[in-house]
Amino acid sequence: MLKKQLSCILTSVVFSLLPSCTESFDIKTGDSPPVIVVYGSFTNEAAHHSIMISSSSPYFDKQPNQGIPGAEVRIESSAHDVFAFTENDTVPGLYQTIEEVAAIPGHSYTLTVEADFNRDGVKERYTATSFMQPSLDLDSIEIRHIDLMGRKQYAMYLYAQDPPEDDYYLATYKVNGTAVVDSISQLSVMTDKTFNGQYMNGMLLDMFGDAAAVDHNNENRNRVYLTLGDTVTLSLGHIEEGYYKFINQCRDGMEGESPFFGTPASNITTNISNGGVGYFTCYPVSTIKTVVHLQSHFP
Amino acid sequence: MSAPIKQDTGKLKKDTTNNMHTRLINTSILSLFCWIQIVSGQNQDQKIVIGGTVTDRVSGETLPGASIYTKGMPTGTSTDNKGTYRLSLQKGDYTICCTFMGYRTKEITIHALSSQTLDIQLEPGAHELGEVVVSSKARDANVKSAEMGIERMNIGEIKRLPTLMGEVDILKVIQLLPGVQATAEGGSGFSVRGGAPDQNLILLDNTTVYNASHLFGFFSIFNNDVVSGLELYKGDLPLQVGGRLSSLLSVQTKSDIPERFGGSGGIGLIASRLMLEGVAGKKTSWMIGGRRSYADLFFGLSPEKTVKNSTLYFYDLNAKISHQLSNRDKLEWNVYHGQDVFGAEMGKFNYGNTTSSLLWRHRFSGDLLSRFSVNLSDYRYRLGASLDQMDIHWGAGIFDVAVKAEFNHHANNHLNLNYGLSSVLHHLSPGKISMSGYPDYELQNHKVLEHGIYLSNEQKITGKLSLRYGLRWSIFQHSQTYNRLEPRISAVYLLNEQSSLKAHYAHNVQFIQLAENSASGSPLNVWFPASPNIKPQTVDIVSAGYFRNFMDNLYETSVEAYYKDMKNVIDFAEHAELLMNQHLEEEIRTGTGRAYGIELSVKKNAGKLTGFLNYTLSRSERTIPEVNGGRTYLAPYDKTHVVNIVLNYAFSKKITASAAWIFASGAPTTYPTGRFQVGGEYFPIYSGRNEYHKPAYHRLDLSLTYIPNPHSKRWLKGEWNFSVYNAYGRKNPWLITYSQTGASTPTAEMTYLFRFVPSVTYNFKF
Repeated sequence: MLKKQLSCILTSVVFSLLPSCTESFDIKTGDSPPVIVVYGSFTNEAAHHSIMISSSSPYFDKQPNQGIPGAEVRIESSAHDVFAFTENDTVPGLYQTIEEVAAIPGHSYTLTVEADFNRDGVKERYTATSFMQPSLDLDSIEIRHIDLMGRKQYAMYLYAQDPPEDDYYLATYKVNGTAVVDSISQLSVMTDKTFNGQYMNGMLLDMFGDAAAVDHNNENRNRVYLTLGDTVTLSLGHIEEGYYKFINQCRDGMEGESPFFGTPASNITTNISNGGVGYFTCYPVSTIKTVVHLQSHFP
Repeated sequence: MSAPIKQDTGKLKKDTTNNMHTRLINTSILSLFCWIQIVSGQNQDQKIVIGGTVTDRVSGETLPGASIYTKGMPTGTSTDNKGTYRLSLQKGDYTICCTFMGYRTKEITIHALSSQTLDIQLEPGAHELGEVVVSSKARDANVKSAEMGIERMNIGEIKRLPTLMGEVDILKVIQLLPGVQATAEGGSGFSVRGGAPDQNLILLDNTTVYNASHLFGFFSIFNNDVVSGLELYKGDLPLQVGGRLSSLLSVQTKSDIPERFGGSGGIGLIASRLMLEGVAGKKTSWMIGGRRSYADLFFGLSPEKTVKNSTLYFYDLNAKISHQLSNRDKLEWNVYHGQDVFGAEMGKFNYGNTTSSLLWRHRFSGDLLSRFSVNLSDYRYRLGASLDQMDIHWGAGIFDVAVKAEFNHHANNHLNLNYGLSSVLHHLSPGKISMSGYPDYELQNHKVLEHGIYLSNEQKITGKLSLRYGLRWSIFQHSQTYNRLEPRISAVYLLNEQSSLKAHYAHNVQFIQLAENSASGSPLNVWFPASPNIKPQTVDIVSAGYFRNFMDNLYETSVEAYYKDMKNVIDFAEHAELLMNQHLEEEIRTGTGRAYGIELSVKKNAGKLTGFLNYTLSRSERTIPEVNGGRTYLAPYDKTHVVNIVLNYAFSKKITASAAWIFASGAPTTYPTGRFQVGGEYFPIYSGRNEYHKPAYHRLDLSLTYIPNPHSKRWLKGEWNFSVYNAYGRKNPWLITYSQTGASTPTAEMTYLFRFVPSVTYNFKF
């Protein structure tokens, strides 16, 4: 997280100090052959969990990627419980559990997708396995109103005990009951590398914009804004290292080259077998709520 | 110096293998000295040695590459990178001639009955602008010397070239030399003959500099007012240095003794600088120089509080004191300190180098010269941030203590020996994070020792054939001890007075390397050592060339071909996490690499029009299991064609114009060939590493130097330099990124820097 923030700061400095311009650029490349894309998650929250199956496409194709209908999808736990999926009627390639089901911490779950992706009349099998981490007990969260470099923001702090193992967290939010994070680039992930096994005594988890002080010229389009009196629900997922890396790699890779801290372009790591891409993950979610109130630490 | 080393290597000393190596080293050193003394004793009675330093009488700068010869006799030599020379003669009367391009030839008659010091000051000649030569070697040194792949430039040449934002930058100047390429647009990072930037050893006054750039690589740390010259060895490294595969860049600060108090400086668009020098008594001289950028001074004018409270600058401080203890002994102390500072309300980020060296030159006899030095080098970065109630500090660095002993023994034409030893303690601190309320998180530090012992000889076999050969024994002590022998040999065969054939072979070893994936020059440097899992990198270099001068050395031409075979070359796992990683070695991938190419060079050294044309045709590849599926891929520094043309024209004593045109094939890059979609976002799929190329890079830089009064007798002499970087506004891609807005599919964008950047600088000296 620190590296990413530093990269943003340094890039901003370079752009502000040096004469630079950005313009559209035409790239001619060969096209990779299509591969199956499987993405979905299974949590301890009782719900109609979903798996999206689609096809990859040439990078600069003007059409959205196509969903893959007609697949057979199921999840089987290490306790041999089987959860069947059915295809959604309106969204091609979207498969959902028939019933509201929930995963149990401490079990492994294997996703199996059978689809005739290469259209040779025979269905291929794609699998992925994920281990459900133990649930995390959250003591509380706190939202403070701060002034950061001249901009009013809300900072969220977490109070909870970090387990002694290497842990990875995924934070998503609801504001007044409505989910405000719906894309990978908005997901907030964190590793406990620097505080492993410690009590998170007000660990900075995320920053939100102040809806009363929006700077339209400088704000990120995916920014979440809060207003006094909002009820914010934190859903903190205790995820596997593989999924943590998948999210980070997706976010790093989606914008191409990065100055200073960029890594050579590489394919995003997947746990889908048989040449597929994407990710299937299981994780427990712990939720906790708070109400936004004005508490400035930089009067 | 042995005490601290012993203390720091206490654990290593428990290893009996290491004790054995220590004894071996000691025994070898003693044997070496005994042998040298036995061999050298033979000719001391008949020979005397004339030696000294050649300097510019006006500026006081030393003049590397000046020719020294005895009039009417075939005996001659040229000054080394410090501007010093040694001439071995029989007792007698001689007229010593000293010549250097752009200076009046000086003749001195001596009655030489014993070895003596003869310092020579050259007067800038009637054709002063002729100093704008491309290479300041002796007039025919490029043909007759056994050296290959070596470029020398003095600061006079460097200052005339066009600049970026008015800052004369020697690291950008060397990128114009054949076989040297920039690693990023506008950056100071460079690749030599297909090698990685961390395979270049950069020395400032013989002390290692680990990060030679400011402002994320856009400017170098070298203040041109304190620099006297540079040498770049593109593979044929002198045996006294080791530890790098590709090149040695040796930068020297002014080391001459000024006649009086004086100085020089300049006022530019982004930085200003000042150098002062003088003498204290008859035996002591001093120099101090500084430079600071001041873009942030304008932040105060901003209406935005955030900008107003920000800081952004870099600075350099150089100092030197020389003291002549006796006619046999000289002490020299050098220090450099530089920092980049970025500050904002929420935090501060700073990084920089500090180096220092104490050098004792001692002349045992006319034939035997020595240099003993202690060199310190420190590079570190620190990031501190305060957010609400949380403070966080992150730092890392590398610190070296080196001791060196070097000897030069010139007995006769068959025995011109260089030998010595060095020992370096590297203290690598890969990172530490402190957060308020939590225990510190610190990666394991490494203390490693790197020793070298070497012996080389320069021998004239026949009137036409000369050899330079030697062996370096490098020892690296970490969790495992590595012993490596590094043989190096070069030969020159004179076809006639104007042309020669040369060949060279070297085996170089590198024990510490940089964990960096970015070509843009990140300041977050993490150096890591060889270990049981990470074998030392090695390279075998073979090169051969034909050198031909025309019209009494007015034109120099050469063609050189090289082939490099690299082993245990480093790359990193896909998506490697290189910072604050306790298990960094798991991210390292090693394999093989090769680089080969041909370099053509044409130079015109004198006259109103001077300049050079360099062309390089090359290829650089890596084959590393676990990277790119094990398939061979192009190194990031592979550029098939590179053309650099530099022309200087002296319209008059007042006006000189320069132009530099740079062309390079597009750098290898990886473009996405497919994508997958999750939610409304698209993510790339790649078919292979570096299988595409960016557009070709080219630009034209122009400069004009105007000296209002070249014959001024006033104490202050000034000149104006006007430059335009990228004069025809070529849009050279710096970054290629992908944009996804709303529900649209991705499109590509390029970001380019430095399109038509004018600058003006006022330089002065007094």
